[in-house]
Amino acid sequence: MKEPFFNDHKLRELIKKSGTSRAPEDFTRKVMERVQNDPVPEASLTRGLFSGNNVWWIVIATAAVVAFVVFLLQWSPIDLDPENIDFKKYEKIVPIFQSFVQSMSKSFAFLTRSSLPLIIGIGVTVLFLIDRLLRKLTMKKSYLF
Amino acid sequence: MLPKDDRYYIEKVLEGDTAAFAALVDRHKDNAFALALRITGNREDAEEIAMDAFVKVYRSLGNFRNDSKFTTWLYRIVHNESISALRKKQPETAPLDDSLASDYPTEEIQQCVSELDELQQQKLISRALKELPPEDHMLITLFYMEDLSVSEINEITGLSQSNIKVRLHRTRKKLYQILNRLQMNVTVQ
Repeated sequence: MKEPFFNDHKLRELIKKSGTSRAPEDFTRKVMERVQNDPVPEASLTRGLFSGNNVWWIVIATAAVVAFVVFLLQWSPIDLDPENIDFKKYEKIVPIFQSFVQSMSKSFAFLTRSSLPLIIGIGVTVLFLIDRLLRKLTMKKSYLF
Repeated sequence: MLPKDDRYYIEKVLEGDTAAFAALVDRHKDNAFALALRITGNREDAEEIAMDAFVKVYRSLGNFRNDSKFTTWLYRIVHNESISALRKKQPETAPLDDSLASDYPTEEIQQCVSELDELQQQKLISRALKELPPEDHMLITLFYMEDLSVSEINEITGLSQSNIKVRLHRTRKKLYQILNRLQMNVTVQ
């Protein structure tokens, strides 16, 4: 193979003879002192979710969801055309949905009537719990847990 | 026992074993320090820059992509820190005259240098390297001393591969020019 024009074995040998400057003796200790005073390294969300075997689990789960949706569309036990739906068949489950929707609307009505600090408090708590959950998923160990 | 590779220690640190980071520092401190020293030309600055680079590496270890080498990542941080430190100190560096760095009888120079004893050779090369502008010094060190490829140097410095090749070619010539001058002084003495 033709040697690149900037390559030069003789020069490489000579430069290597000049030697590498060595870091001071206490270099590692000083770095570790700084590091000990620092928090645990931040793990990225993508690294935690998409590393190692997780990738395969995500692929399998995605494929399962897609297969389920395709199955429902092709061989659904319920006729998906709204005009053909016989609502009498579902009379028993309609009240369950009705009570769920009613309880949800009551909760929201309560929230809108209650004080602003309470709404902010609930919002902050929910965000805090989501944050903890994501951290737990992405870090095996942390000073927080 | 076989030495563990960098990824082993990175995983350990990410699992919460902070002490494992000391192994990474120990393994790469000399090269990181040498690179910073070649760019800044000052031991105190180089030590500070190399330490800062290791702390930065530690902080963002979770974002390290396993598709590139740890050393390439570390050297890139050291390079960037060194260049910004250098720019703060010296806004402009005077480049060597490229026109003078042409048509030197490289084989003749190599022959003359190789006739010197080991210690004289070391001194001569060290002095010649110090006379190079910091960025040229860094490029030539990464390529000839660290045996990095042009694409790895591209990842570290952000310079295009063709630019690196041209600069290496020019720097090699400049180095021979300096060596020629220094070696003539040694012979006269």
